[in-house]
Amino acid sequence: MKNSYRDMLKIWVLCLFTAITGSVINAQANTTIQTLTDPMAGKSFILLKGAKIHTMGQLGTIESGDILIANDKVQAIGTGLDAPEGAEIIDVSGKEITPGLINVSTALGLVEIGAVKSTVDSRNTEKAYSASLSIADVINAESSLWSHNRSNGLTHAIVKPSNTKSLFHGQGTLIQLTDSLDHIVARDSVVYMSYGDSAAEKSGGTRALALMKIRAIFADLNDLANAEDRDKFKPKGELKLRELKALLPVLTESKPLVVSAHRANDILAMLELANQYSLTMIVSGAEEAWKVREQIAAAKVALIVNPYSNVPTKFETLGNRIDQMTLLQEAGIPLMISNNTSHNAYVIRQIAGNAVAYGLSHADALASITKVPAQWFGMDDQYGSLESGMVANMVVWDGDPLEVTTSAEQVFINGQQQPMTSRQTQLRDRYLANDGRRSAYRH
Amino acid sequence: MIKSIALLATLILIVGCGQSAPRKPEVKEPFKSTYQAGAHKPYVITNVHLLDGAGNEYESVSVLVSDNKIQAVGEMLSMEGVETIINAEGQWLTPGLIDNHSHLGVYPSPSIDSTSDGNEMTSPDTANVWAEHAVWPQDPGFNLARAGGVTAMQILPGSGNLIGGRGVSLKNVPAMTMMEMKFPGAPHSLKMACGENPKRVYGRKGIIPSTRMGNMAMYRKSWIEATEYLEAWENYYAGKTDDKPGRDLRLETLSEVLKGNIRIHNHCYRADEMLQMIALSKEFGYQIASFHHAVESYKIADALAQEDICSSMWSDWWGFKLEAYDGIKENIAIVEKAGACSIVHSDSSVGIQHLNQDAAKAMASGRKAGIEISPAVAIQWITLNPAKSMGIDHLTGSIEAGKAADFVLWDGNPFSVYSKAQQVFIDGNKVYDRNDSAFQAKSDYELGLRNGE
Repeated sequence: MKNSYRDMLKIWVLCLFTAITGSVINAQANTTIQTLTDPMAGKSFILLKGAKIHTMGQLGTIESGDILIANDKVQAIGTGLDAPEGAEIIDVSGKEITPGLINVSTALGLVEIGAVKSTVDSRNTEKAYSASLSIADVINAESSLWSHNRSNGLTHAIVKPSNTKSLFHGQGTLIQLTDSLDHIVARDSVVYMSYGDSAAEKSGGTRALALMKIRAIFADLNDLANAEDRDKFKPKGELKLRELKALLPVLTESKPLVVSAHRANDILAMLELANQYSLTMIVSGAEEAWKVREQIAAAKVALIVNPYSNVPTKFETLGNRIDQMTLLQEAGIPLMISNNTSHNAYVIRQIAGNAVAYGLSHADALASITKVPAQWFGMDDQYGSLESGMVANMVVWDGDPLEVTTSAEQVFINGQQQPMTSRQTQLRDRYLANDGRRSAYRH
Repeated sequence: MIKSIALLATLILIVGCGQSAPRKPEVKEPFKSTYQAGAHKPYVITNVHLLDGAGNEYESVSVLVSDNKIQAVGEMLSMEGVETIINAEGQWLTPGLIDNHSHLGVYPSPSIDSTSDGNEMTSPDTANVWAEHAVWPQDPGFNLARAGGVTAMQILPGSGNLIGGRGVSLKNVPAMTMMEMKFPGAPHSLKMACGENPKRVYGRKGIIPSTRMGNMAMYRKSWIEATEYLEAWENYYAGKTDDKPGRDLRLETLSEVLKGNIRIHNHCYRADEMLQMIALSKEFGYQIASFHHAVESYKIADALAQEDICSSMWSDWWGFKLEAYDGIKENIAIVEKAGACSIVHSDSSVGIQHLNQDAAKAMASGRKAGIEISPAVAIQWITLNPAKSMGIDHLTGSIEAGKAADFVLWDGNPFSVYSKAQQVFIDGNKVYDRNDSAFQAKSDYELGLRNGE
């Protein structure tokens, strides 16, 4: 990945100073620290003590350790850390801590109820606006899906649109599932394209035409990049200039291009494109990737997969298999897991657990829902692992984070402890309460 | 004058009929099961960690199997005449898993128009259609489900219609025909559906029902017709008339429900609609076996317990439509706590492979909310309780003496994401072995296509 794009992304990273919810900092103690001009002065501290920490970073897994959070950052990780004065100390012995989970393929904030069209903003049916479509400003962080996913351990997600007619779906945006409206982390940071059955259907019924169109568009893009006056450029392919310009950073700035492809030779066709134009490509779906894993590894292309969904429902997914991540990992391919759903986007950890059941290492499975997404979406200097200086996004689990009987107990985003309530927990508590009153009069 | 003679003749006929002897109803069983359990030698599974599906957990116990049945469960079994001993130390044994809401075979893989056979959406009441006539035994989903420990499932029509047709219970054995899978002794079911789906499907066609009012009016219309149909046949069999009623497949199915021979499986999300469906069942005198996709059962768990109606539920699905908006992860545990029959169902060719994980999630969510659920109880959500809803709990669903030897050997606690079914048995015969390709059936569809073979 080229640095230029990564630098651009950094601009969007919000490192807001935020007071720690529920922590009580003694004002007098604070004053004392300040008079000593302590470098830690004025900071809010939380010390999590005694958990098994899956750092996903250089420290690996610490069987029993502490994490010191200062404001929005991880200040230190180790054993027997001292609590700075005024720190909130949370005993997390017997618990396990991971970086916050990241689902790289969702419509969070774009969908409330799948079948209620007025609540769905992810599905674009207009062909003319494709690669340029940005959904960043319409993401609704007050959606009930937000708190539900957050309280189950999801701290970040890529939100993406779809297009029912164009090969290009538009721009995806990285969000954090915070409780305020500061949810956009990296706006329009990835572009989506489709290939395979769906692309054929949009292109006269044949992959051949879809591929012709894609190649023509990339030839245009190459010419556009080299054009003396880009505003006067006349595209030969299907995309209009406005759309091409929105796609251009894929070529010129290594902006990630996510392509959905499933069949082995469809994936190969996309690898050729990636190689020809030196793209930062991520193939999603990729059910038959294991058949061409050496080629994928050589092309340095990453994958978004869901091996839990292993049924050969389509002819293009006949090679679908539940153990495919193990084969792909052995070939050295960077892997991310997504279930492509929003209501239960956090369920990626169950998929990761199943991948372990079928041979993947626990660390690699956990990386596919934390560290690898951060790397491929240009955020790994901030997110995806727990190390000193990283943004304090983490989840405290009551057991093995990949186990189905485990629950999230505490969630931190930007060092802030998040509420663990949601519309679902309110419904639960209302009906668990048996106080003789009618449900509508319980709160 | 002629009219009077005719009337007199009719009267004589009627009076004459009233005096004729009762007729014996013909019992027909078309599309009868041809399933036959294979013979096997007696064997004992020893040192196994058992969740028996009857509510018990044993850390180390032995199970004696012969003649297709569980013969005994205990610590010191008489092993006379038993040559084969399976030492299952470190393994767990559960009853074969049962999914009472599957569309395998009727919505098979490949999922294309030419295989989409689960929903006869051309009339809101198609009680005349039978899911079994659309079951394609070559669906690779059956094999995947077997690898997940599923030994029996109920195949239902879809939910586009108010009354969608008959469902069928199958044993999950590799087979050439549906009849070879058909569960001997299992009653038929009838799929009904509340709420959004039927009114959407027919509302778009501009015919009734386009509202929930229309839904209810049409159920009642059908049950009135069924009541009359049943009465006509009863009169005929009682010898009250010589006019043999015409046979009507739709009303035949509905009247068998009224007679208690076919069990109602009712797709119904919302609590208020479930209570209305109970009121409807009382108006016409039938019992609902289970509500399905019952995401709001937690709101009326006490009523469901009182009415002895099962709830078939997902562990965590919600929000895909308005009537699923109030789904919560604690639903199953709350229903269980109220003493009502709780079932984990899949409605999915993926979910059916991991029913144990869904049960585990629901158990954990319950515990987190302060509802203590033991593994011995949670296993019933995917074994005995679905069997009960399907009317086969006297045959399968638990590991008890006299029941079919349908069971799964797991490599660890089945409520762990890391555990997998190692061997699956139906009627005492091994039908799946994770370590032996001879027991990993492949359908014709898969040959030469799957996994580069």
